[in-house]
Amino acid sequence: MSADFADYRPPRPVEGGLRARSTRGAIGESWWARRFLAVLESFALGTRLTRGRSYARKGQVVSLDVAPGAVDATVQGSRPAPYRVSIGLRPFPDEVWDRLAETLAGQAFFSARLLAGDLPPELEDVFAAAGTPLFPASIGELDLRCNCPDFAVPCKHLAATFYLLAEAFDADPFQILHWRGRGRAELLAHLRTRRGDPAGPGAEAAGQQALLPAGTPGGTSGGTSAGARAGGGGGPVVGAAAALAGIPDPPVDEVLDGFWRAPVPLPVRPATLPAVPDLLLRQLGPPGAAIGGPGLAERLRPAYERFGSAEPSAGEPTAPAR
Amino acid sequence: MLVVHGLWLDGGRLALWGEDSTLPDRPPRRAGRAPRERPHPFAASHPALVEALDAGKAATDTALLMLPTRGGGPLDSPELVRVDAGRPARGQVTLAGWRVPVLVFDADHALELLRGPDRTGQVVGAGLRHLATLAELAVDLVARGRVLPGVDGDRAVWRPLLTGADAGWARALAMALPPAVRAAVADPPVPGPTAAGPAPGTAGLVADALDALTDAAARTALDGVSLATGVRRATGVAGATRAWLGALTGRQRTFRAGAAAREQLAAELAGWQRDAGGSPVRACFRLVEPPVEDDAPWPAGASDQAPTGEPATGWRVEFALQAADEPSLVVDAGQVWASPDRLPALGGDLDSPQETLLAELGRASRLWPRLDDALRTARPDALPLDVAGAHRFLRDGAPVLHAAGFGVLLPSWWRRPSARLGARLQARSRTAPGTVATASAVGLESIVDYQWELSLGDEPLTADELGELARLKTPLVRLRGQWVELDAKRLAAGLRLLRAGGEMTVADLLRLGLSTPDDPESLPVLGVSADGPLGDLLAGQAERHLTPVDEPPAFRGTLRPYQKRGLAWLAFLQSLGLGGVLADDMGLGKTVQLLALLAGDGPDAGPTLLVCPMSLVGNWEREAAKFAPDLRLHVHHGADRARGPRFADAVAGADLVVTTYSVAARDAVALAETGWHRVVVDEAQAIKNAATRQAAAVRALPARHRIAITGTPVENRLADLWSIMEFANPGLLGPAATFRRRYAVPIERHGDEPAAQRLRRITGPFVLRRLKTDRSIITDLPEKLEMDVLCNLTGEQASLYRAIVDDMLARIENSEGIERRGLVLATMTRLKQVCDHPALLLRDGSALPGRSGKLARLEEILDEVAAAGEKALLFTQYAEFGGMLRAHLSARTGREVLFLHGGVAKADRDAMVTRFQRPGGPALFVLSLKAGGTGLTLTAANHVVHVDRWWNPAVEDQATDRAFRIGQRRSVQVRKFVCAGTVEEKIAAMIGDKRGLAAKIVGTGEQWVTELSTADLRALFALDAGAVVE
Repeated sequence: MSADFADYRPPRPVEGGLRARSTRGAIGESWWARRFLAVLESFALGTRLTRGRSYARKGQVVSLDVAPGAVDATVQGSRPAPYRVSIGLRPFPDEVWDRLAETLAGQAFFSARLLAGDLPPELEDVFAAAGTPLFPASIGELDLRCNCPDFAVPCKHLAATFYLLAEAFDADPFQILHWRGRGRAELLAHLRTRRGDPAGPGAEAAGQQALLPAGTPGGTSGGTSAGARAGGGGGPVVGAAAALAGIPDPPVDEVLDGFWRAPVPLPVRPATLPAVPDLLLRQLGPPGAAIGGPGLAERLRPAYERFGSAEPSAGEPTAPAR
Repeated sequence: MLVVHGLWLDGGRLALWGEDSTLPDRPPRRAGRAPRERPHPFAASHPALVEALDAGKAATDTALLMLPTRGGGPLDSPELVRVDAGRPARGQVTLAGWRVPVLVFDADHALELLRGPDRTGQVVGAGLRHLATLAELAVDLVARGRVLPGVDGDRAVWRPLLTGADAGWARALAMALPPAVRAAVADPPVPGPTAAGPAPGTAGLVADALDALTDAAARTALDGVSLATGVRRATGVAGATRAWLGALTGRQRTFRAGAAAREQLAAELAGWQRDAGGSPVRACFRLVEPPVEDDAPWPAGASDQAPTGEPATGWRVEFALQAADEPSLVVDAGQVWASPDRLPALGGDLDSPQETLLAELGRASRLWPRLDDALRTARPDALPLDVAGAHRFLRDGAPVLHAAGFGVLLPSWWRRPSARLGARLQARSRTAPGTVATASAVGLESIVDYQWELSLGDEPLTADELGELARLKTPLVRLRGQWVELDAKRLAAGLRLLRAGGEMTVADLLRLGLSTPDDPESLPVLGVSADGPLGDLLAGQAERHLTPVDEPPAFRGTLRPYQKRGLAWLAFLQSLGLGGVLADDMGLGKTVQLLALLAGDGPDAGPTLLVCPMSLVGNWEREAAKFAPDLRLHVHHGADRARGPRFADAVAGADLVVTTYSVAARDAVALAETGWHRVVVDEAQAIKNAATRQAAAVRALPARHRIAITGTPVENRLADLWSIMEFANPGLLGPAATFRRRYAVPIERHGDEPAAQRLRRITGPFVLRRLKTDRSIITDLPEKLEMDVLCNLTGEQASLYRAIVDDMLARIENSEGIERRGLVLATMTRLKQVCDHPALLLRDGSALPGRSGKLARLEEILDEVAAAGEKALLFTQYAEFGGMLRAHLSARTGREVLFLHGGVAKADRDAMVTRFQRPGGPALFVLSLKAGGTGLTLTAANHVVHVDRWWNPAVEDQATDRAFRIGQRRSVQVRKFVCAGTVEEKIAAMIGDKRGLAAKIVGTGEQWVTELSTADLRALFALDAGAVVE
């Protein structure tokens, strides 16, 4: 082993570093993230890969920025100054994107799936058919740089960056397209124009902001894998408080004569829709990879089955009288 | 007695405190300004609470409550019963701080407690009852899976997801929260000049309670489940997830994880669940039928136009955007594609409508993959479908999309029963049709010819048509201008049925036609028709079509026309060997209809067993003696009731055996050995709970004919209906579990109208319920209906009664003049008080339920009044008893009960009257005879109950006229309570006789009694044997 001593020293801990959400096993839950990592894993071997993964999990990656043609990251190693890492990949030229946009705009399917948080496998075929494969076929297509003393490429810092990037792709498939030259807003605007109705300039950017939760730049926290929803007004949707906002709250000293009683009569309880008890699990997409992905939903399913099978108790818990 | 109140405290805890009626109602006076907080003078102590609630495990604490206060003491809650009712109320009501002992329960124990607040046997305040309703919602949300797991600090929690109807109900519950639930203030209070901190907000408190109770309900449902089993140990967020999964079940909610990992877990979960609540703008899917090309009446040329190989096309599911909170705002996809920037039509500022639609379609395609087919174009606005695809969408896709929060618009014929293939059974009786139903005209075993007819809705189909439909092999077909669903298996079953036919017994006909097969592939039976009286019965019209039956000769009295129809109906069902439920509105004379039926029994008919609540035994005895004096009646009740051979002899010599529910349960075996001609249950709500011992015992009694009598509308609570019908016509509604699944849950929870119709069709023939408001009935009714209601004494009342008589008579014998007169009047008062309630005589503040025959009867009557949504005035001459009634009834009904007595100021009295007269105002008004007898207009009530008697008809009538005066549009029912075998009944009989003493009695009250000789007094006061039925 011909390495710098630094290799054998533990890296410096990072405050608020970007941690890989997945903390064991493989990183990258979606087929497209796995697909991307396969390029790395087919090339790099052994300890660097393992250490890169452990760097990613410890939060040694200080920042990660996806831009057309380049992913720039800073990774804290054992030396005081973090290393600068970049992964270059040639962006598709505009004329390629124009051609692609033609195809993508021709089928609402692609936008619909991307906006719902999926990267449909057919999208890869579209890029392949255009002669511009979406994923790099080999590591040779990537321009890998790291200013660490390790001469091996990819080094563990690059590997760590790869892992975090895979998770960013997991959370938001638009990030891959961004790397290849078109950011989400730009692409959607492009597609909208292609679809046949020229959008007025200026209207687009504002529109995106209001409607779609901005893609998390680092993609490593916050988790947007569930897909963008319209509206998306803040505040939690789960929990009773969400439904009870704005209930009038008369001061107690104004209702003294009705102190012990319901201030307004309780109406008849409205009917509810019949539904299977695990509807919510089916309705929501898979949970984020960090917390177990589809596996977590499967873990929770027995709970919902139990909820639905519990017989309502025979007695009347709240008989109106007596 | 204790009244238990509930408080919801911060941090998901329930606190219970109580008012104790035995404690003084105000603290000792102290000089100077009132302190900021004082100990509550009549709050129940910790030991009293623990004992009353059997809650050894609860934590004890105290709480500072801001309570309405007047005159230096906290006001009683309306449920509290005090002996000295009506303490003069002076001064302004303000809020003041009172410290009370509380028992504190965590959410798990709170849920357990709130699911059965009445099981403790204590009187419960309205606030605690309200919290129980919240607990009920929590349990229901869990049962329907409307919960999601989350993280709250270092705790794993299940949170409710409130959407649509659930959100509306939660808001209604929050708005109706009694302020008393949030009476607790910050503790220890913030020092300062202000009395106390603000009360917690309603929304916050209800949200906290609902969250905590939902979490507890989920954990209860998951008892014994472990979600983390087999998850490998890990660090970081995966480790946190593992620990979190482990903490989602069981009572331990906290889980160990680093702060960063917890936060990340919480953020991940929030991101995952963000879509759960639905978005303000959602995709909407509308199924559109193919355009009608040629609406030629089918099957003319069916073979030409029926597409054989090629399935019919032309169906479309159109896409649109819809505002979730305003479903009428719908914008078609076409318009969305034309508006890239904004869509003002949807209200609000919907920017980027195209991306919104695309994202929604992308999400929907996860649930309904077929949707992808439509997304292959640039601007999809609809998915074209063939007929099979349309059917699959209707059957599978639409329900899933709808349940997941997408808008779904389906053609109105879908799920309409008339769009289904069904079978109708047609029977022809072999007796001459059209004759009046007479006994033995139709029997359950008589044979009818039958044949099946298949139809789509109301349209009959021939075998040829059916064959043609089967050949089409298409799930949806347009038939005579309307789309209908055809199920291949049902079609095949239909063809088989058409070939069947022949003859069967009436019993089989009813079973086939009215019971509902559980097999989803079998054809629904849409109707059974028959000619003659059988047809009338099946159509639920028997009562209207039968010739009214006149009173039998042995019946002394006159039946009103509707009662004659009721009698005909009862006789008709009996001739068919079928049971019935006589559910006429109260006051329409169910008892006389039944007595007329009994009076008409042949000499060899055999005995009838009548089971009723204890409180009604005396009434039946008296009514039977009055209307059917020839009936030989035996009362089977009391500790010394006949048993073994003596009982057999008694039954053999009786036409009517009256017993009570408790005896029927205890002597079930002996009673079942008699071959009863008929079993009647009165106040059939007593067997509404099918699992109880008395319900099971009554059902097991063998009889040729069964009748249930109830004045409570049975159709409102389907579980009750099942139990009562299972007595009257066993097996008609199928097993209880099936009934709940097929009818009770769909109708009560989901408002399923077709299921409700089906149920009405099945039960209709066997339930006779006529309403006072029904025009055809009301014309028969007098404007005022006066009834003496005979009540029984309980054992406790009887022994007190006898003790008073013995004691007082001894003293009366040894006195004379003024002293004697005073003693006689005092005796009268004490006897009347014990007839009302032992607690009124003893003045010991003891509990009320179960100790007075009058109270039991009053409760039954008021239940019927409440069920009919009507109002009642209750008069008593004892203000103390009025106070007890107000508190007891208020606790029992959970609603406000008004009470007017001499101590009420005029302004307060006027306010009470106004509120009582208002629709939706309090339904019960207790009045002391002296305070409320004159001047007031209380026409909102159409029931008047004189709980005790003044023996002065003028005074009583004056009181009655509060309700029965100008402005009253309904008939008024007046009930005068009298205890059987007591001085009350004897005086009532004298007045009724209008002979002898009566002339003197009328108008003079009770003074005349003082003139009686001691021997006469002994006869008047003595308690007759048989007065006690217990």
